[in-house]
Amino acid sequence: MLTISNLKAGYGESSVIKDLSFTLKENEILGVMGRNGMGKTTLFKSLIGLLPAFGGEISLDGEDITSYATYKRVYSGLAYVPQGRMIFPNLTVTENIKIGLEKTKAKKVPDYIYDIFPVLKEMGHRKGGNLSGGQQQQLAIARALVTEPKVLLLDEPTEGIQPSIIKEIAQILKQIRDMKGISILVAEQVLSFSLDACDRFVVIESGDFIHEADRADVDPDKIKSLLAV
Amino acid sequence: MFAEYSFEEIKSILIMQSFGGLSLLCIYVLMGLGLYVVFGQMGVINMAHAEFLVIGSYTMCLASKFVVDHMPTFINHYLWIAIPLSFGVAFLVGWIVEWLLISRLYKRPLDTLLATWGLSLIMQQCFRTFIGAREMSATLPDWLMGSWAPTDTIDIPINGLVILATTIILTTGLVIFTRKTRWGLRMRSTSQNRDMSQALGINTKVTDRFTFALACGISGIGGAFLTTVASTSPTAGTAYIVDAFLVLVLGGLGSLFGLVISAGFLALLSSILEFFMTGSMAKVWLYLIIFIVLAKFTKGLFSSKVRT
Ligand SMILES: Nc1ncnc2c1ncn2[C@@H]1O[C@H](COP(=O)(O)OP(=O)(O)OP(=O)(O)O)[C@@H](O)[C@H]1O
Ligand SMILES: [Mg+2]
Repeated sequence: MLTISNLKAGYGESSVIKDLSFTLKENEILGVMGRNGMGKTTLFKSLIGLLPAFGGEISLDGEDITSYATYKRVYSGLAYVPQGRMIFPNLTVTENIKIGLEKTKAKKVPDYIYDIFPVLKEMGHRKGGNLSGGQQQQLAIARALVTEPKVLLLDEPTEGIQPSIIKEIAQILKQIRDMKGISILVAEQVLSFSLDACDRFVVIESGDFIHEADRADVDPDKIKSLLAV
Repeated sequence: MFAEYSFEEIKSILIMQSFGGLSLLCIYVLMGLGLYVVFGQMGVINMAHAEFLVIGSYTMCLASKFVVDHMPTFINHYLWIAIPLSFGVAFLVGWIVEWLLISRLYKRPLDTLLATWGLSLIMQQCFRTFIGAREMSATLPDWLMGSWAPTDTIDIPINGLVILATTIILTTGLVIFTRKTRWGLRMRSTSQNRDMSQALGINTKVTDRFTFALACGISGIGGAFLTTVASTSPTAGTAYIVDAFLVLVLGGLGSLFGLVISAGFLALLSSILEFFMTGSMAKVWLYLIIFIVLAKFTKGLFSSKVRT
């Protein structure tokens, strides 16, 4: 679904992602595990186009999107939930979701969004900035989902969220994948969440994947040791 | 000093004075509105703002000249075309200016300041070269220059009423536009977080261009109405720019409500001061008082409380 070949990305002089290739399969939830500063966010930003790639190729469902501006990548089928969620604090919850409707040009927020995230319906008129972290995370996912993506990019959705809600988010991701038939790439540090949600795991270190495992043959202790500082 | 007037007359004077103040408020709002949109939505300080007002004034003047020369029977009605035309011309020039100049300087606020200042000089020279250095006035329809007399002693100028109506329509229209339309949502989200807006599918470059052009168009309408109270010349903008910035800064930079209140405050203050002293002395006192107010409220009277 999403194929990355020889991707190089970074900031100015410093290159973070040096030469990365991988494929996100159809209907798959792939967890990118890695410690702080290992390049997860850099990878995601270059996938969505907020950080121009130095080289390599990104292809989405057969379409080469490497040179596309960020908003065009959204039209091609990428959606992005950034680390820190980036809710528009001065806009209401409903307005935040409606920005995601830019692509489909729908007037109304589709009902299934409120089926998955009932809290967003209750809080529709509140300012985005006044939601709790967990509610903001749901809003950020909803907002990305209404762009009707083929691939959803989620950067550390569990950051700063309590364990019971983390479990809920894992369920929601699987529910979304099954319902919409999309693929999800999720950056994570919380191993229990990834074990809950993901079909496949990679460990990123200094911008490169150093370990890969399927759900069937994953060795949690091995990943834990790779994530330990 | 009021001894020779009857109570009825004093009441009338009061009403007419208040209306005069209200008209001045509207003029301040019209002068500041475009500046407010560009600064509030884009964080750009447009030093050439006043020249967009002047574009509107010139459009109005030239339209009236054309009507007088070629279709004099139309003189009573040409406003309804000249005003949208003022909007359109200023919008178009704004679109081009954003594309050629502003869009290249978004991450460099000081350069933008300098560039738009240079632009204002270029625009003034263009007015001089292509339209002429002489002052120009619009030939306005008689009905607009007339007055409405609800009682024997009260005389309300029609142009003041039209300016009032325009100001109300423009400000409420702007509020509705930014709150209720997709363009408005694009403008607001882009001003709050450009990257995230793009990552949700918004073409922020076009949004910026549209926002800037819209602000210029609004200034164009403001300028068209300034022809009812002042004549137009290539450097007419230099007289407006200080007032426009005063309204904006005093209103707390980026709050429409604050803009209206501060326009009212300025109108009230300058009417009172001009009652007691000459025009230029009144200006000196006006600026002095505003500096004191700004020193006290460093963020203006009504700065927005919610911040990212
Ligand atoms: N804006 C920036 N300019 C320069 N270097 C940066 C910038 N942002 C991140 N880096 C560097 O790039 C490297 C990778 O950072 P990145 O944010 O991708 O890590 P991460 O895996 O997302 O970490 P975390 O788990 O803390 O979010 C780090 O060494 C970091 O210092
Ligand atoms: Mg990160």
